[in-house]
Amino acid sequence: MPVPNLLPSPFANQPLPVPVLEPITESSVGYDRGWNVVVWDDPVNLMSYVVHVFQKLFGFSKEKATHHMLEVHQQGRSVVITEDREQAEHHTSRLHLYGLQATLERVTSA
Amino acid sequence: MKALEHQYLAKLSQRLHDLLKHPEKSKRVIDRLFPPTFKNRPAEEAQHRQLLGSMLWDQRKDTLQAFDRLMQSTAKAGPRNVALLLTAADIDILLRVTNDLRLMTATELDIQDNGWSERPPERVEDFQAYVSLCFVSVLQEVLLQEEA
Repeated sequence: MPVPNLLPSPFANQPLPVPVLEPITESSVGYDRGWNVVVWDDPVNLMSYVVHVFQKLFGFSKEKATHHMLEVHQQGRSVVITEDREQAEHHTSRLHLYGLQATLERVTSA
Repeated sequence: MKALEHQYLAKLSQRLHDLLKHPEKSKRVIDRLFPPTFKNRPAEEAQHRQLLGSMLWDQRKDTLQAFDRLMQSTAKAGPRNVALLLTAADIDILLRVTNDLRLMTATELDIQDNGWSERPPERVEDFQAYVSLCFVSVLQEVLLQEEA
């Protein structure tokens, strides 16, 4: 059986290099806070229709659906729901089938 | 519903059929009916369309075919009227298709702001499309009231 070479190397007495560690952030490990489903203002869709769609697709009360519709109308957009990516894509596709302009945006703040 | 209105609605829906069959006829309307899901994220948008694009296209066609069946199921209700007996699911189909018809017509009219209903078009050739838009809008509002 061969004897391993355990003789000290020329570097044996030198200090080991200390790696510089980057701080671990949520983005560096791919942590997903979710995706916002954003509905955008549109000059064609009737306000009453938008309320109807929000109630139908998200089960919102009339008051909550009206609140989001007015936010869309007055501020140009409203985040109607936040989900993981797959669910958010599903919601957006359904909104498109009802003729609403909706997009996804990644949640960036707490 | 008046028989003439029923005929007109059926005729208008044929234009939507035609457009879904020949999307190259109006890219603007198709883009409005199938808007992007990911703004400013072309790679994700391409992936999304590859995965779900044809399914969304088929679902829209299916809804339009269900609309056709509904329109054919009318009964005569007097010399000038037709009657539609609608379930909640039927009303949903009618709402979705009338909305698509509104989006199609409004895109063709290049409507960009909320004041369109108080401002008839300036060009005479746009007037028929404008009347169509008003007609389908009123119909949709009536359906929404029925549904509520």
